[in-house]
Amino acid sequence: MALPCGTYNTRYEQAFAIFRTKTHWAMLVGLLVLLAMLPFVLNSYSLTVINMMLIMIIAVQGLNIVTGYCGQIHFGQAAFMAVGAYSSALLMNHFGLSFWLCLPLAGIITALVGILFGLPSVRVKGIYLALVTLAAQFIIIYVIETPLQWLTGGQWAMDTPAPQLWGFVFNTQLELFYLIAAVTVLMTFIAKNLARTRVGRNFVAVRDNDIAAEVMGINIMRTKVLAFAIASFYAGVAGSLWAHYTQAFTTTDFSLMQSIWFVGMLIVGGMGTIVGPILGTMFITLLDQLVLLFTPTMAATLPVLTVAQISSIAMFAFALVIIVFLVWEPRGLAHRWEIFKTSYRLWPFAY
Amino acid sequence: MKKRAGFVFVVVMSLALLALPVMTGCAPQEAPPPEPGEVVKPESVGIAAFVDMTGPVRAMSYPGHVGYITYWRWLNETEGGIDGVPINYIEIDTAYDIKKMRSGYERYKDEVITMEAQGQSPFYDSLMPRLVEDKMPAFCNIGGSDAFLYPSTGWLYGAINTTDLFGSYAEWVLENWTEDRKPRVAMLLGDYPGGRFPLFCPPYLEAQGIEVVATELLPFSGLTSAMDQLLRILEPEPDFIFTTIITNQLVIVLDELHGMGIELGPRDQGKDLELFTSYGFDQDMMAAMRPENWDGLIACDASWDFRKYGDPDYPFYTLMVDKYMEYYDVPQERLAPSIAGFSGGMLMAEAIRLAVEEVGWENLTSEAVGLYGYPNIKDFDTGLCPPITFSKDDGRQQAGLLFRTYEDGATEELWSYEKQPWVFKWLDEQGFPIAD
Repeated sequence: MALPCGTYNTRYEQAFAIFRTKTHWAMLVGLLVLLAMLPFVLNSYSLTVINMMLIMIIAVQGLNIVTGYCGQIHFGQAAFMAVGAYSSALLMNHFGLSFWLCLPLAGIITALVGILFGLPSVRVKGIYLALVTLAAQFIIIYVIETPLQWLTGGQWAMDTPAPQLWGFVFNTQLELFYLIAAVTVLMTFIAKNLARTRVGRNFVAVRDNDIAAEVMGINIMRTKVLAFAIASFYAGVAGSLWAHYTQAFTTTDFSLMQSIWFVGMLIVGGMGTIVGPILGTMFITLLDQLVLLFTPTMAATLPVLTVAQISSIAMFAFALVIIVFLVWEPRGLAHRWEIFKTSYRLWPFAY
Repeated sequence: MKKRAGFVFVVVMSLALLALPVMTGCAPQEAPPPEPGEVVKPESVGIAAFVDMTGPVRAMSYPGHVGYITYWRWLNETEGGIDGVPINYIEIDTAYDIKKMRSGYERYKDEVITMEAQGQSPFYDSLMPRLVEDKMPAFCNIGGSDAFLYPSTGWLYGAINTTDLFGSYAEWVLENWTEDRKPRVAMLLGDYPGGRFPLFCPPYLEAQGIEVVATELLPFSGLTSAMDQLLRILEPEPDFIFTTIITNQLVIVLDELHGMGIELGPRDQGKDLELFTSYGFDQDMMAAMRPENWDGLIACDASWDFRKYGDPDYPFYTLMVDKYMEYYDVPQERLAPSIAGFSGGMLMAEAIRLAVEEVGWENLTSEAVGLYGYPNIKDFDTGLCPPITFSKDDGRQQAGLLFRTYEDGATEELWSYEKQPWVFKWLDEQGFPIAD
């Protein structure tokens, strides 16, 4: 990573640090303060959107590990979220486990399911792997709804209690915000560090050229399956949070469309970067909400058009924005962010 | 270096402070309190509509919604709203997306006193705890409402219910059955929540004396063929097929049945089997295929308000159709399902009137509409169907289940049904597992 003009590393610790300069620390503190202040100035609607967005960020961070870093295309992340959501809800409802146990256990259970569906990645890649993960999307939802109906309730909503900590119930959007934000920050921090470890470098090596990676001594099977397991762990944690956040959910919450949107968020944000999933999820979610808010306002302004017509036009505009954006910046928002940061660091010099 | 860090920190904090008033502005503003003793009518009364205007279930949910907006607009124009208070009708396209449903609900819940919810069960399932907690009554007459109807919460009211509809159909089958053996029924269900709910039905049907010989689910997505599923459900030679597939899928199924040489209709008239569909006739859909494919199909118009369908002389129907054409410039033959929305709007308006009678305009809240509006609707006549009654323990619209068949380009009324069986309640009382 480029450092600001006149700043040099003098120790290895400095070179390895995530936050290298005081500017980084200042920005981190500013961001955390801003994050902590948000709930006090936002209404219930804004917090709802942010809470859902934060949960999506965790799921997309997971997808980024398997697709962005390891290069394994994955169209079933929402189904793995469903595994986490149902695991967490069932562990709490049937065994009375605490949310704080259910959350990691949901991640572990989902990781095991992820290993199962990740095994085919050893033999197939590209579009064929995409089909395998698509199959995972359908198989997992089918299993939850039909063979496991006796356990999951099938298509009925699964009721899930709110998280508790020493008697304090996280019930309102504000209380849940702090919980979800903390988990999101933690999972993002883990993802950031994972990308800098040997495992993370193995992922990148496999993504760039798996034959070359194998020649270098990287165990391809172990690496690919591990990527699926970690991605699924993230999906499981996101699913668990979703379950306890919504307190009532169905399999429709984890549809194929949601899986495809996860991939869309990752592409728009920028694959193979930590900031990409965050920016991509924010971009798509906020654009989506803009459409939602835009249609009633436009209907009032343009009575000759129905809301359905305006909504259809808005959806079209939504798609157009994404297409234009990807044509303009195929490497995603993260790349723009990098350009901005580099320019800032070199300022006032051009290079 | 220190200077740069300080600069960044100041910039971030300044941005945060600048954003404060903007974000605070997002919060709803409270109206000033009225003078003591003064009865102040609100400037308008807010009603939200959460409708899948785009997405996979648009074909089912949107036409009914159009009836609502026509009715509200007509009410505002002719009577100035309810008791002179105009309706502020907020329409939200939920696009069959749970996240949009949740966020849209949070965005508008403080601005409205009741909601029209045309969609599918996930909407209700996802929002049920919120609706109960926020004391927000919701009303729906198109869409799967099975999940919330039993046990009743008192905050959700609806009409079409695929399990009870199947129960009604079963009664009709038995009433017309003349052979010694049990009638055989196959289920071809749409793979979406409202479509899948009849999966719970077999114990009820068996108890009634009907044998369920096959069950198949059709994916809830773009469909090019249902031949695999059709071959499997036809193998055990059912006498009847019950289907909850959505209308554009039905077009394909009917086409393939016709291609297989299967004639729909009663066996005693030399036909092969009877196909019963849960979602009525749709003129758009009928226009999209060969007329002969429709012959013998039985459809259930479960929205009681279809009773006068096809009767252009019926005054209210005619008025609403005219208004809809005037407002939205669409041809008359595409209006059929909208009729449900006209009287749905009448019912919602009645709930608001009842609540106002009880608590007055100054105390009108969503809770008041839920407590004193919908549950107190007794024998309410929309003019389109038999009188409607709700109670806090039963939010199902009972009146006017109508079975019709299609033959030679015309529809014929087969059976009119006033009171649907309550299948989920029966299952629960008999000890069969149903999720809560």
